[in-house]
Amino acid sequence: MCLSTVYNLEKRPENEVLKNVMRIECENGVVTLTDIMGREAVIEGEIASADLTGGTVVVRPKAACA
Amino acid sequence: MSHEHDHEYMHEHDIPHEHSHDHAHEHAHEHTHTHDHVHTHADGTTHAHPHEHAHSHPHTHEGEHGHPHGCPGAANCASDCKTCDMDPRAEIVALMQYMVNHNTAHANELAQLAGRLKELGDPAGYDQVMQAVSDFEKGNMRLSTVLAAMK
Repeated sequence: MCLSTVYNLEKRPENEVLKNVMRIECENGVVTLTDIMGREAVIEGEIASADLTGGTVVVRPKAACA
Repeated sequence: MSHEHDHEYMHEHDIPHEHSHDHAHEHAHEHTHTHDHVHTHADGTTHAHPHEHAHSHPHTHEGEHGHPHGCPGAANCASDCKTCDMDPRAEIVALMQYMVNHNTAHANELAQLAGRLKELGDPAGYDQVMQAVSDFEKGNMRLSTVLAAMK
């Protein structure tokens, strides 16, 4: 419901990918993040977890999968 | 009672953004309307709450398409964030707009919870939550005023 902060692999400040994310699209192994200003971050991989009350999403890049 | 609103977002990208008007496709701008919302409770009482909500209307501009999508200075925020030259004030305004709208949604949800308390036989709880909703809306109205001055 709220905007989320997306992290790479683990919720740590140095792993922050994008803040104020309003949209996440997953297609063909690509996760596309869009923030409230329309900025995009594209990651090959998947969503590992989403804490919707905490506004936290963790993505797992393709290289870290399997 | 119901505060449900269902506005169709008819465009493939309804992200708030700044742009020059040189484009020719449909898109939406987020904005806010204020109006009274009349509803009826389970006990038959009807009253109105003034509230505002944001939605978008698709529209078309004539001419060339000319606004940037995404970070103007970076192909990918994940790897090129340092090159971003996005106006920080515009971002604050966008975040405040989002929060004002979000607060409005929460106020409506709280009012619905209050209604459920009443249905469960807790009129005192209903009154207290509705008073809190009223205070919440006053604070949000103040934020909305500040936001209007920032634009």
